Amino acid sequence: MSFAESDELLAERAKTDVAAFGELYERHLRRIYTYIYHRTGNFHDAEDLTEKTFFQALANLQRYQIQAAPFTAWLYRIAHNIVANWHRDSGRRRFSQLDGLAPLSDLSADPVAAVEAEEEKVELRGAIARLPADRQQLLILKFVEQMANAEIAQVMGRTEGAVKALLYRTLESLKSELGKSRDVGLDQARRSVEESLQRVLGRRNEAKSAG
Amino acid sequence: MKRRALAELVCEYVDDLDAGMEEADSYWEAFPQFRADLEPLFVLSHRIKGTLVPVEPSPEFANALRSRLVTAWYENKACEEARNEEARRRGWWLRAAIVGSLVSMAALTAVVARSRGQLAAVPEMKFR
Repeated sequence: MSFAESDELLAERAKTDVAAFGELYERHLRRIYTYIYHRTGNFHDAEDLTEKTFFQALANLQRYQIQAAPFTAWLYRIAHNIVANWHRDSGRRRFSQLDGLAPLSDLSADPVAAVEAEEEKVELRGAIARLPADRQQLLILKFVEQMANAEIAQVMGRTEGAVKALLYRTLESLKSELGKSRDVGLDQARRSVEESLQRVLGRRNEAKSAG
Repeated sequence: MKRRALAELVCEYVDDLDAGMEEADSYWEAFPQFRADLEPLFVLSHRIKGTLVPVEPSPEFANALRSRLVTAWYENKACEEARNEEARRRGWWLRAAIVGSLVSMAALTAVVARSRGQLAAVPEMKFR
């Protein structure tokens, strides 16, 4: 039976062994890439910032201490700071809708349902992107990375209880945000239907008076 | 109190989702009083789970980054070794300087002691 070496021991070894560093890279590339992708919304920036994250990790590897934090938490903190700087430097750039993700599935089966489902996803992604950075981070770590609350607590520098409370508050605020945007959407739809009706009635009245 | 209980239950449900279990009924049976609060949050959790999905970096990107990192690792190593060598050399110079200073001090002390000894050995001159 073989046991996988822990990330922390591997990180210690990676200070003097390039193969160990390669192993760490393989283990964490997808997770870090996914995290950054969901925070930036596009593949190009995800690649760019993933590269920066690993180069920064490499530059600081000698200073990494097992006792201070688990390696995963340490790496996510680097990624989080890089994404935060990116958002700051890019002048509060707006989150662009995720590109190339989730092609409309089963269009042939039920095109209307597929389009509606995609619209719901776009709406939800938009609402998540408007959340504060720490809440976005929490959602990604919990729902995508499927981390345990204790792990998330280490990454975010909070207690486990605080993580649970934050998840609850995040879902609550997301729920009300989506409700609001749905109300706005319904109002807009109602208004545009009323305007169309007014136009049609106006045209009919004009036709009547001309006739 | 209620909020804390709700937070616990929501977290548990999300963990269930992660584990592939999607049975909210057990929650309604155990906590019917919280159903109205929890149901929309469970539905929302479900939607988030279906929306935020893992993505794979392209193999070209992964391979290219790996080779750049390996190159950088060797460069860092070389820089670090050069730094260590420099520090070692500086250490030797410092030690040599300290030993040199000590030897000089000892020599100076010996010269001073000797000259005092010679002065003491000179017989007293008698004046008439």
